[in-house]
Amino acid sequence: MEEIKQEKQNKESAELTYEGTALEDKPRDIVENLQQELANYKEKYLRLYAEFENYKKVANKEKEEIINYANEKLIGELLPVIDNFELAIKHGNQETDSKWFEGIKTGLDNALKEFLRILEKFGLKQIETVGKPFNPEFHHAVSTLETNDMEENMIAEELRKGYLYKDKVLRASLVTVSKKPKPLSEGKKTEKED
Amino acid sequence: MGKAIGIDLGTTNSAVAVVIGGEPVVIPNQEGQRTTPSVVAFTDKGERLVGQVAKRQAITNPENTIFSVKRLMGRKYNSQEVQEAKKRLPYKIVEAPNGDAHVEVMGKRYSPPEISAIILQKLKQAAEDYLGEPVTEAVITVPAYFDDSQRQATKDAGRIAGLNVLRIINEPTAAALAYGLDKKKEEKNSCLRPRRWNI
Repeated sequence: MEEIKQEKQNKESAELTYEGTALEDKPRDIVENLQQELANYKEKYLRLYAEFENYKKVANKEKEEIINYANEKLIGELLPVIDNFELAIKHGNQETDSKWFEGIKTGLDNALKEFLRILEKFGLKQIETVGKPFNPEFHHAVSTLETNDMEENMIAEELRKGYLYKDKVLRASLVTVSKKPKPLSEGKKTEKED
Repeated sequence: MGKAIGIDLGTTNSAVAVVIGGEPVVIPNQEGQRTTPSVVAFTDKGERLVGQVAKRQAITNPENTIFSVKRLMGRKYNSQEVQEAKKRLPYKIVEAPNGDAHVEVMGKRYSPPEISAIILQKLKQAAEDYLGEPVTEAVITVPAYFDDSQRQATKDAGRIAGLNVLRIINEPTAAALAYGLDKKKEEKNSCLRPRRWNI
C-alpha cells in the first residue's frame, strides 16, 4: 500500500517537475513583459518630466515677460494720441497770430510734455533718428533721398516717431534714408523717391 | 526625438507653431511677433537679415532684398509665372543650368529653396529658443495648387534648414484640421467634411 502511495507521490512530483518546468518559463515571460512595460513607463515618465520641466521654464519666462512688459499694449495704443498731440502742436506753430491760440498751443505743449514724462517713467523712450545712421532694428525706411550733403545710409528725415519700451522696439521710426546720387542724376537737385 | 513643429511658409509672412499639452501654440519670434515677414536681405557689410528687419530696410536695398520667393519655388525660369514675377520684382531672377528660376544677389546665385531655408532657419531658431530644446522635425504647409516640384522644393528648403520634413500639408487641410482641434466629438462633422472633398 505504501509502495503505491510512494509511487503516486513520485508520479505527482514528476508531474510537478514537468509542470514546474513549464511554470518556470511563464514567470520569465511575465518578468520580461513587466520589464518591458516598466521600461516603457520609465521612458514615458522621462519624456513627460522633460516636457514639464521645459513647460515650467516657458511658463516662468512668460510670467517674467508679462510682469516686465505689462504696460506694453496700453502704451502702444497710446502712441497715436502722442502723434496727434505732436501734429496739433506742429500745426499750431504755423498759426501764431492769435494770443488765444498761443495759449492753447502752450497748454497742448505742456500736456504732451507731462504725458511723455509719465510714459518715460514707465519705460517709454524715443528712438533717435535724424543725423544718425540708418539701422533697420529701430528704423523703417519708407523713402530714400539722393543727396551729396550727407553720407550714405544716414537718416535724412523722420516721418513718424518711433519708440522703445524698455529694451523692445514698440514702434519703429518711419524715416527717409540718404543715398548718394547716381552718376546719371548728378547735377540734378536732390530728389525724393517713394 | 524632440517635438515636431508646424510651419506656415507664406508668400508674405510665415509662422511656426507647436502642440503643447494637446493645444497648438503659435511661437513668437525673437522680436516678439507671431508672424515673421518672408523677407531675406543681404547687406553691403555681408550681413544676412531675415524677417521684419529685412523688410524695414527693403527700400534702401531693393536689389538685394528677396521677398515673395514662394512664387519662384520649384518653377522653371521660362514659365509664365516666373516671367510675370520678373517684371514686378526688384531683385535679379536668373536661369539655373537645369532651367529652374534662381535669384542672384551680389553676384551669388541662390535657389528659391535656399532663400526659403533662411526663413525656415529663423523660425526653427525661434522654436528652439521657446522650447529650450533642439528641433529637427517639421510639418510644412503649402498651397493646395502646388505641384510635385513645388512640394519637393519646399521639402528641400526644410532639409537645407536642418529640418526633417515629416509631411507637406495643404493649407486648406491644415485650416480644417485646426478648426476641428478644439471641437468636441459631436461637433466634429464640420471638420471631417473637407476630408470628403479630398482637399
